[in-house]
Amino acid sequence: MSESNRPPHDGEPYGPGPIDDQEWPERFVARAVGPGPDPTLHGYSIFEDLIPNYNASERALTAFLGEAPNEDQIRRFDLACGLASVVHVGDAPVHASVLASVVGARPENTLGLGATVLAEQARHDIDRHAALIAHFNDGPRYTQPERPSTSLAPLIAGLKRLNLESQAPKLARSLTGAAIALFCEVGLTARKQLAAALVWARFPTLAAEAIATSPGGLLRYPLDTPGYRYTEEE
Amino acid sequence: MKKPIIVTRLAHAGWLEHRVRGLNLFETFGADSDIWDVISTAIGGPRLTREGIQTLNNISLTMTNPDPRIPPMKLMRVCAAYGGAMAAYGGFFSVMEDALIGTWSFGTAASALLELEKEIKDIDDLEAVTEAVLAAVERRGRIPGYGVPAREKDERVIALRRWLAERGRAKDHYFRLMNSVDDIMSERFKQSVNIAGAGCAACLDVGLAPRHIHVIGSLFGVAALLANADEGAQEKDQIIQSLPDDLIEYQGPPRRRSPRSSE
Repeated sequence: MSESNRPPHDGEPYGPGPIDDQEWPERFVARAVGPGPDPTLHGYSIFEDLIPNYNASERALTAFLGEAPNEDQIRRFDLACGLASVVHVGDAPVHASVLASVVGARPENTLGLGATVLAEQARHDIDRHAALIAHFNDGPRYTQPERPSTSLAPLIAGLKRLNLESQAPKLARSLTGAAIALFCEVGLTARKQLAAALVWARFPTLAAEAIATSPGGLLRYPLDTPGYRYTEEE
Repeated sequence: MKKPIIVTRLAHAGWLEHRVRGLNLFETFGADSDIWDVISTAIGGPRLTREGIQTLNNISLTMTNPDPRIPPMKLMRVCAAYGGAMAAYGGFFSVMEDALIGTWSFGTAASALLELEKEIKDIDDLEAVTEAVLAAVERRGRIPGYGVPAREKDERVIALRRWLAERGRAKDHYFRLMNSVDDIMSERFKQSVNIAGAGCAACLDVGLAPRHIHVIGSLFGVAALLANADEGAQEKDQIIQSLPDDLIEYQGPPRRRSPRSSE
C-alpha cells in the first residue's frame, strides 16, 4: 500500500493529500446577503426596510444593482422587464420546459431546465448586443440603426406613459435590444447583472406555460417540427 | 464553532494514490480496466466481471441512435440551441430523474421485475409467472418496462437479445424471467418488452441493484446525447431558438382585460 494512503488508525483520517495539506479558509464570504435573524441585502434590512418599502420587482432590482433604486430606475427597470418578458412555447427555453413535461419530468425540474435555457438565451442576447452594451460601458461609439424598427411600438408607448427619456429608441433594433438598453440606463451593465435581469424578466412567463402544461402527451407534441432531414453530403 | 464534518464512504484524494470505496484507485484499476467497473464501484455497486462489462456495453450500444427527432435527443437539441453543449448536457440530466421517457425508467423497471420475482417460487414455472404478471397488471394497470410506442417490437431489444445470446448470457436468471414476462405481456396485453424492461433484466444479472441501475443507466444513451448536444451547439439553429408564430396554436384563455386596465 502506498505511503500516502495508509489505513486509518486511532481516528486519523486517510491521507494526506493535496486537499488535506493545503490551508483552506473555514468560513464562506457573503458579499451581498447578510444571514441571521435580521438578514440584509446589500446592507438593507430585508424584513424591516426592503419588504415594507419596496415590492418584489423593486427588491430584485436592488439585488441586481447593489443599491436601493430611485424612482426613475424603478420605472425604467419595470418597462424593460415587461419588454423582455415575452417568451413563448416557440422559444427554446419554454420549448425545453414543455418538452421536459412531455417526457414526464418532475414539475420542479421542468422549471429548473427552463431557467437553465433562459440563462443560455440571456448569454446569447448579451453577446448579440455587445456593441450596444459597450456604448454604455465604454462611451458612445455604437452605430445607430438607419431605420427604427417597427417592432419598437411597445417601447415608445411605455416611455411616453412613464414620462421617461431614453436612448433605447435610437439604439435598439428589437424589443430585446430595447430592454437591454433600458437595463443599461438603470445601471445594469455587467454581464451577470444583465443576465440576472433577463432571466428574472422572462422566468414568470416561462413558468406560466410550464404550469399550464400537463405531463405526458407525446402524441400531441409536434415531434417532427421543425423536421430533420438526414444527409451524408459534406 | 467547530467545522462541520460530513462522513462519506466514497473517496479520499491522496497525493499519488486515491482511496475509493476501500480500494486504492490506481493500484486496483490498471491499463486493462474498464470504466464501467470503476463507475459501478464508485456508486457502491459490485466489481464487474468482463462479462458484466460487456453486457453494459451491449445495452449502451442499443441506445446509440442519435436521431434528433427522438424525444430525449430533441430535448438536448433545444437546450443546445444557443451554442452551449455542456449547459444542454447538464440541463438535460436535471430532468431525467423520475422521468417517464429516458433511462431512469431502467431502474424503475428493475424494481418492478424484482417485485414480480417475489411472487414467483420458480421462474421457469410458466403458470406461476403468468399468475404473478396478471396480478401485477391488475394491481398497477401496467408493468414498467413493457409497451413499445409507435412499433410492435423494440428493435433495441431485438439487438440486445441477439448479442446476449451470442455471448451465452440470454439464459441468465433475470433475462430469462423477463423473456417469460414478455411472452405473457405481448400475448395478453399487446405490450412487448421495451429496452428499459430488457436492459434492466440484463443489469440485474450483472449484479446491479435498482438504485445503481437508475444512476448508471444515465450513461447508456450518452453517445447519442453528446452527439446531439455537440451538433445542436455547433449549428445553433435559429429556428430552434425561436419558432415562427404561425407554427404556434394558442389554446389558452381568450383575450380579456385585467381589473386595472384603463381602456
